[in-house]
Amino acid sequence: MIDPLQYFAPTTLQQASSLLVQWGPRARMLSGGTALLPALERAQWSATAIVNLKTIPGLRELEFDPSDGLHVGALVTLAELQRSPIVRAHYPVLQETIAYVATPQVRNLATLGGNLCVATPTADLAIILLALDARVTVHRVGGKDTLSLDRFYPTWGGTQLAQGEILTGISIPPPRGSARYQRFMVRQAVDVPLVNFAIALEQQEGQISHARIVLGGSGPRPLRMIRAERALLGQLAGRETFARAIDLVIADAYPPDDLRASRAYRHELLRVLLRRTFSTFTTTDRANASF
Amino acid sequence: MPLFDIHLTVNNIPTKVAVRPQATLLDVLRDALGLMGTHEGCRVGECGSCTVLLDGKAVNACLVLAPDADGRTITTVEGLEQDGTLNALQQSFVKHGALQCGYCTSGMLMTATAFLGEQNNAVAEMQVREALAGNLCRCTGYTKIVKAILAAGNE
Ligand SMILES: Cc1cc2nc3c(=O)[nH]c(=O)nc-3n(C[C@H](O)[C@H](O)[C@H](O)COP(=O)(O)OP(=O)(O)OC[C@H]3O[C@@H](n4cnc5c(N)ncnc54)[C@H](O)[C@@H]3O)c2cc1C
Ligand code: FES
Ligand code: FES
Repeated sequence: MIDPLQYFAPTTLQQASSLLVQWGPRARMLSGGTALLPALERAQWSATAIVNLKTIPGLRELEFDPSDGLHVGALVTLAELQRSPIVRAHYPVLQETIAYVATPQVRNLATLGGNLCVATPTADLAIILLALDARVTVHRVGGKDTLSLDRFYPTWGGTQLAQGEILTGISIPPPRGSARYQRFMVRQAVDVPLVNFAIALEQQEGQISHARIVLGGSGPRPLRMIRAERALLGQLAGRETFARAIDLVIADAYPPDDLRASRAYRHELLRVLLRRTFSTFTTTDRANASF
Repeated sequence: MPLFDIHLTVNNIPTKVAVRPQATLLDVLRDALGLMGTHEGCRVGECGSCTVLLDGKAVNACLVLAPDADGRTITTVEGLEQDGTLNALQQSFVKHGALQCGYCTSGMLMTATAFLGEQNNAVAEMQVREALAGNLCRCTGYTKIVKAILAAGNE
């Protein structure tokens, strides 16, 4: 049972901010509610005031501009993104990622802003959006601020948001090259990933000109595998290059060792899945793939 | 503790309900409106037995805070029958033996209703199975549920 609550339905960001400041840590924001309600029900979070963000207009835009990229309002649901023709045309990897998240019912409620702000180290959208160099817009008292998603997540976990600050939108630059998302679960639906990661690569005349590798669940936040990314730059996309990068990811990755799987098992899983995923970036490798 | 008036349209009937702000839509349907067809399994979004249509979309009623449902349209399993007879999907469940204890059935029916409503072409088994990813059944092994939905969808 959820403890008694005060419920607020602000209609502007300013109102929502002041309520959040006034109630301090006793207040919780409500977007889709799919993380909030279970956490209250299980008494993992406590709250005496709920500030509904869905009563604030203007946080649901979904716009694409070829030179600017995609702008997504914080309240756009995962189901809306999954079904959007714009997303399908320009960022198919986002739809592939969302298909892994939760259940159809949860995706109808869950918002992109909520997924990024819950900030679990395995949050699917955070991982792929870090690989796509996304930026976020934050409403602060006295204005707004835009920062990279990478800076939005401090190294010690959580988010950069201070009391009263609200994530209002997400911007994804125009697609560079192509990207893949990979998540391994024992059960095919509603299971915790054993490993998950995203890779984005751009090639120019066979040479890798841009690389992002982001790993989930290997620390307090999704992590960029910087050494492996650097090892790819300027190299020919192919088996040897990828093998060197994979060795560096394995060396730098520190996945959990728990009841679901040992660290050694996750390392092995990661190696296989990385090899498989990298191989889809080159046609010759795909033909030679041995798994 | 203060109650909160919300306006809902439930199974086509406009309704005003006084709710506790911490109640969920599931509590409102079962406790305030007496619509016991919407079942409570886990209360944390994992089992799907509380699935209802909110403005036409399948959602977990246990994940919707009651005051947040103000002004919305809800369909529960009680709203599926037509003039006192089971609709085609419900009859397909009966015909295919798609239930045993029946605990998951109303959720399965609501998820399937939303899913079939979105399809313009013939439905494939894999699509049905993916649509049911958020509905647990501990009895049937899913096979007959999938068959019932496929039959209703491809009639
Ligand atoms: C059955 C089930 C399966 C799930 N599976 C997955 C999964 O596979 N992958 C995954 O990543 N997650 C999963 N989740 C977790 C969760 O549903 C998602 O992360 C979801 O996207 C959260 O979004 P929301 O809008 O529902 O957040 P809410 O529950 O509304 O918000 C939670 C908290 O986030 C913060 N917040 C929300 N919006 C904002 C904002 N705009 N600005 C600032 N802070 C904000 C607030 O602190 C708020 O209290 C699952 C949940 C369930 C119930
Ligand atoms: S009771 Fe709502 S999903 Fe289980
Ligand atoms: S019939 Fe018993 S849970 Fe599905």
